[in-house]
Amino acid sequence: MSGVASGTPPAPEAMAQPPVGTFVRLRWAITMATIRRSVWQLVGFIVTLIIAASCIGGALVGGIVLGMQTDPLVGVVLRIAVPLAGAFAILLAVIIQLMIVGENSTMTPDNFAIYGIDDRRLTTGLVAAGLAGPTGLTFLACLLAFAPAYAHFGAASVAAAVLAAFVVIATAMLCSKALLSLFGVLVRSQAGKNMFYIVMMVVIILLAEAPSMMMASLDTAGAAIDVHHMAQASSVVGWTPLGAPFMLPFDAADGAWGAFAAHLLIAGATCAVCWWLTMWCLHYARTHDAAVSGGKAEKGLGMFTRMPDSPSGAVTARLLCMLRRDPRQSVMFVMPLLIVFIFAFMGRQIGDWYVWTGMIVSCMMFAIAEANGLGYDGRGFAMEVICGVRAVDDRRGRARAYVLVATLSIIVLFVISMACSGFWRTPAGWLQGLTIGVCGWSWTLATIGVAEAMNPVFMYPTPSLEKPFSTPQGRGAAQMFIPLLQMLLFVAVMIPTVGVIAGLGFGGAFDRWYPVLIPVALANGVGVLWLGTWLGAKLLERRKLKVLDTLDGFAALQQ
Amino acid sequence: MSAVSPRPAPGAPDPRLFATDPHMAVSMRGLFKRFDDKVAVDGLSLDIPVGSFYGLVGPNGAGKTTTINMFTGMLVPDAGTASILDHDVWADTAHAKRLIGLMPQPDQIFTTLTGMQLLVYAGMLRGMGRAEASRRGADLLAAFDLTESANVMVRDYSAGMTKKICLATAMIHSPRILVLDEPFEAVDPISSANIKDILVEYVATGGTVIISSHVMALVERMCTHVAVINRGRVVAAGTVDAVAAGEDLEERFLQLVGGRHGAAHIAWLDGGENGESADADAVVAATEGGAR
Repeated sequence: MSGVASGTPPAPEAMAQPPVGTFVRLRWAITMATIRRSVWQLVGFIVTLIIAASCIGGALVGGIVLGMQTDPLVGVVLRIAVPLAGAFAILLAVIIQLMIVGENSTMTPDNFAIYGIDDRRLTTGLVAAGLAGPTGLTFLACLLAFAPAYAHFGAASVAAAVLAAFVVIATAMLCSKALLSLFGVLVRSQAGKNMFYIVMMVVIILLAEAPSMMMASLDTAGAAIDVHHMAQASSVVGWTPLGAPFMLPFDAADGAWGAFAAHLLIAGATCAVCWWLTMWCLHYARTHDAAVSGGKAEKGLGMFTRMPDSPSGAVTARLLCMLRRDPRQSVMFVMPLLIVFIFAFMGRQIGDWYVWTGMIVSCMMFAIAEANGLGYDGRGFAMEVICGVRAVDDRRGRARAYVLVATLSIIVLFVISMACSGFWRTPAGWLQGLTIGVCGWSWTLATIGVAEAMNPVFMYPTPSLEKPFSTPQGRGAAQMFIPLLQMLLFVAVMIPTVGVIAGLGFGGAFDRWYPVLIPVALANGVGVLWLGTWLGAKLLERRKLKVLDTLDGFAALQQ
Repeated sequence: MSAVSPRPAPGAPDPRLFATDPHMAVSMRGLFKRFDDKVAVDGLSLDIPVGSFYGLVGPNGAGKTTTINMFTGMLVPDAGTASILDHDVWADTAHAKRLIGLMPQPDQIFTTLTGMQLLVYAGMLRGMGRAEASRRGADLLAAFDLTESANVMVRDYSAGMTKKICLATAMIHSPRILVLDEPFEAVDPISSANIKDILVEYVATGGTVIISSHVMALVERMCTHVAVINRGRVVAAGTVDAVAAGEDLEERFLQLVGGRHGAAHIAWLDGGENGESADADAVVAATEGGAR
């Protein structure tokens, strides 16, 4: 603001910074307003309350039971397990915050930009609001309820556990906020956000698969857990920022007050650094330009020149352009590659053939996003309605796009699987590989058919393209039910092929006659694809305006 | 779209009593739409002549957008009929849509396409060949001063540029009727003047332009005809001169729809000179309101 004339009234001093408690009140006011919005929101809240109460009750019972144990082994296990599990839990919470939940769409710094609240107060207020939110309070209550578990270490240990509960929650919350803010600053371009989303998805899948990968890589003799090494690992983790708060009860139990102070100092320093980092990011975001476009210009018509010169060709080209630039969907094409990699890794112990299992599983994944394809299109689908496009052109165009991408991907997966399994060495191996590859491809075709029939009817809200990490309200129930139905249908449509496999197996003719699966699976896959596209066109033709209305509703949820 | 035959809603006028005018660009009879308990459009009838530059004006919530959606085949009316160049909209919706160019809203387009791709997409969806769509796309981009941004993704366009590309997608198939909802909103004065020139030229070739707008001065200056809509009904319609009835159109509009009141006196709205200033809770109250 410039040019403050002499006659201009001074800025009112009373536009004082709002107290931190105000942010907490605001947070709860919004939560309550959301609950009152509909009966379903209220039902969801009650279910959440029941789950939270169960968690707290479980922690209390577990804490009391553990606290009553006199076996010294319990103490040893607690010393090893608590810091390791605790640090891992905080790490997981941070990643989940980054991946699934994202920033709460209302309590973001942007929504307070016009109120002249200084960075320090705003940061503190938002952190306090986060800490005092339903999730923060539930986890705090769980940790407090678990404090009796330290009873056999003595009263000082229980008191330290109570203190540690607050420190743990503060550490988790501040780490999440800091990382979220940091990524917000570092990844400012849309292209960068897209890449970040995909990388984070890969990381979370690898983390989820890590235990089974590790178990698979252990030979049976070495699988016994080495308590000594675990204790060492726990001790090291206890001195890290995420593990330090969990050491406080054990330090108090040992009377090691120097270590207690050191662990508390590490935890305090972690919180302070995270708070400062969050504030710095907030300041940076406020004083620098908003997200700049990282999107490359594309010369010419791109995909539009390579597709049929027809309305359905336009739909295919548009969808292919979108798939490249939409991380929410493009990640579905990265996952099959990752799964084949994981299965190939696990196959080192299980057997070279195991990689083919990964390929078959991957083939089911290409159509997952398309099963909610109209949901991902959002209000953009209105263009087709405005232009009076026939539903059959839409379905053909969409199916063509997915068949193209999936086919190219499956060829790559086939080559990788052949190489990893060593099937390429013999003609029999080639025949086996080809049979599995064609079965997998056919399954993909069938799932695309299912997706084309499903998405005009079963839709659920998606995060917006701009905020792929956010969680739109109302997503929960639909997102639980629809993918379940989708998976059931994905499996059910291959029953004819599975029936032939079973028949060959029970008849003892599988080894000689398995190549017959090539035409059977192909007919199965192509048939379901055709049927699904036809049925989807019929449904969409009747439901176009209803679909548009639903998508308008979803768009409102993304705001 | 399968044929939909809207039936009379309870209490709504029976549309069979009225027939649409086959000589009109757009003719509506007894359009009725209710959303839950709220009647959005209440038996609206209107004729829009061929070759007119027609303005639909009305206060917020008057039913303008609902009306547009119903006669363009985007929303099924509860009752009533609409025809476009003598084609029943709801008997063959796809055909009716090909006769008109409805400007999409900025969030109704695929912003991950470049400007050129979006135009070709809009053309191909309407059955045009790729080559023809490309040629027309280039012409439209030039006309709307977007040639330099032809290969830039639409999500990187400014609000005004986005509005212009939306308008271009409605024109690429050379429709005889253009339907534009607030076409000049967020468009800079230079672009706005250029768009106006394009629209005036379009009308001169026999095309019909239907715009909804809140800017009365614009309607008065550009439109040949105007309809004032209030509470889902047409309260006045005809040439601009006829509706204005010798007065300034804005004044006449205010007379027709009412709702004007004297300036409210807010005692504390003086910058804090009287010592009354917002306290922290006031900030929060505002924040809560905004957040909701």
